[in-house]
Amino acid sequence: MARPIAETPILFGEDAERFTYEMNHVVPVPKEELERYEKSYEWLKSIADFDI
Amino acid sequence: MILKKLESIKTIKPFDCGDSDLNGFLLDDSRNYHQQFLAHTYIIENEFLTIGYFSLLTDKISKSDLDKNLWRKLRKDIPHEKHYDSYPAIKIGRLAISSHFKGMGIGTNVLNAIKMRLSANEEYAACRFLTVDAYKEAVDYYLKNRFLPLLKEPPQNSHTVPMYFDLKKAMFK
Repeated sequence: MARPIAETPILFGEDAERFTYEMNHVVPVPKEELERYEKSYEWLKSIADFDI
Repeated sequence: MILKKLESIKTIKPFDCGDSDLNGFLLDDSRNYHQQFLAHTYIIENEFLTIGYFSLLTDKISKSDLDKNLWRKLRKDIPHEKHYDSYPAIKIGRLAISSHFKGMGIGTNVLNAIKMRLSANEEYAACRFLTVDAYKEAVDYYLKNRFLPLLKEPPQNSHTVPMYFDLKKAMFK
């Protein structure tokens, strides 16, 4: 039996502050990268035998 | 190459990604996770082999303004009181690619596709973050793919590192 999928921990103190900061200062991925995401998504849809 | 849902596959084709735990999750545990509604597993295969797989489940990221020790005390005294904020997420419980197919970009394509699918998801429930239970050996890979560690210092005894990607980063057009 493999190790179980771990729970996501609750954030406290410095970890919570850093997370809040990042969440409020979102830097969008570059356009070229977004295009790669779209291409990957199209690829995955094209090989799927079900609707994604 | 074809992507299938685990439940549509009668017999999982041979798989070896070089990590016995990741192999074991797919071959021994993934069906149980599915049957218990704990995680859905998707398999990429060809005629002879399993090329890779990924398992997804719902998740949340919670943070508290309280000190960790105070929070523990409060939780004990007032178990139903909510002392933290939570944000919806989808977790990649496991993602692995066969050793025979490594270096072909399949894992990154899967990761990118999941980011795109979730960030474009406006028809069902909202989801802000993609989390991952990353094996320590894979942390650099996820950092390269813009995931951030949730903890400055991950638990010492843990074999995985909790990381996240803010889907809002991919929502700008």
